[in-house]
Amino acid sequence: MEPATFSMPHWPFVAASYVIFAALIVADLVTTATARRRVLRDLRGRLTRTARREAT
Amino acid sequence: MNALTLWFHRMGSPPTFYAFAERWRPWFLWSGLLLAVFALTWGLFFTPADYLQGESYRILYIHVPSAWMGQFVFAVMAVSGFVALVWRIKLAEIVSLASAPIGATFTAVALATGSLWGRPTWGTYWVWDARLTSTLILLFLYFGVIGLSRAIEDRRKAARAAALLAIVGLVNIPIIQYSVYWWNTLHQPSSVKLLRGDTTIDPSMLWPLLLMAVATKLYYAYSLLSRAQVMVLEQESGKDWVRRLAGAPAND
Repeated sequence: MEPATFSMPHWPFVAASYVIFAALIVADLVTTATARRRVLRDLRGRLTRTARREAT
Repeated sequence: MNALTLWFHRMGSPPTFYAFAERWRPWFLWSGLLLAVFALTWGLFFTPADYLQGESYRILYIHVPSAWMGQFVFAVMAVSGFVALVWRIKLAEIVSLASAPIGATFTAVALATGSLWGRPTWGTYWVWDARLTSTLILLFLYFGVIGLSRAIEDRRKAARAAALLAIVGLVNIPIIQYSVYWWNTLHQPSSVKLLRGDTTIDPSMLWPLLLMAVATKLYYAYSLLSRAQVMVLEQESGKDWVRRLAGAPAND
């Protein structure tokens, strides 16, 4: 005899799994893309401040 | 010195590594994403339902590759951590640390999707089964490595401490693998045994799974290179090649 839970709708569980996976991949993509831009922007800012200080 | 050894020596140089990552990152990303979309579409819509589990088995196209990646990335982290400890190669430290959040994400996905599969199949989201518990320990080990690397201010000391934890934690990987044979677990033994040739999953269901396993590895390569690039930039921020990259004139 198969368990009663086998008869429950499966698609919500399948859909939730795929959504979780997609959400985490998108979060990872956004994190990695913004982190590099942020580091380069901070670096440029620091270099500009140093150059200004040296000029005065 | 053979070509491969020479290549590894070259990759030890941060500017060479940065240029390599810049060139290959988009290839890994797009090939990984396209392959994942293809494999998941195949698995969702073009494979038959399982005779016993029905539609819920389709979760395996996310769950199994994520679980494999959780273990694979931990092994990469431990091996690069070992190289960092023994040969003091900065880039090996970076590879080890950059791998941790990616591996933790894959392990979290494996646990969450496994739980979602368990509800319609076992009738529960969670049991303290040896396979599930050892995978949860893997997630905690990842958290430990990430936490340790952020708790110590000196980056190189932090990397060495994290590498040590990764090496010690490697003992958990065979425990995860063999837990289903060593203990009486609710989690079933592996259905995919490519090396032994006695895979019990039907080929129509197996191919999308294998393609998804390749796609997750390609995505890992992309994410690792991206994260490593950020760490290289932070570590080398005083160097001329980074100043030039940021658009400032070199010091010389």
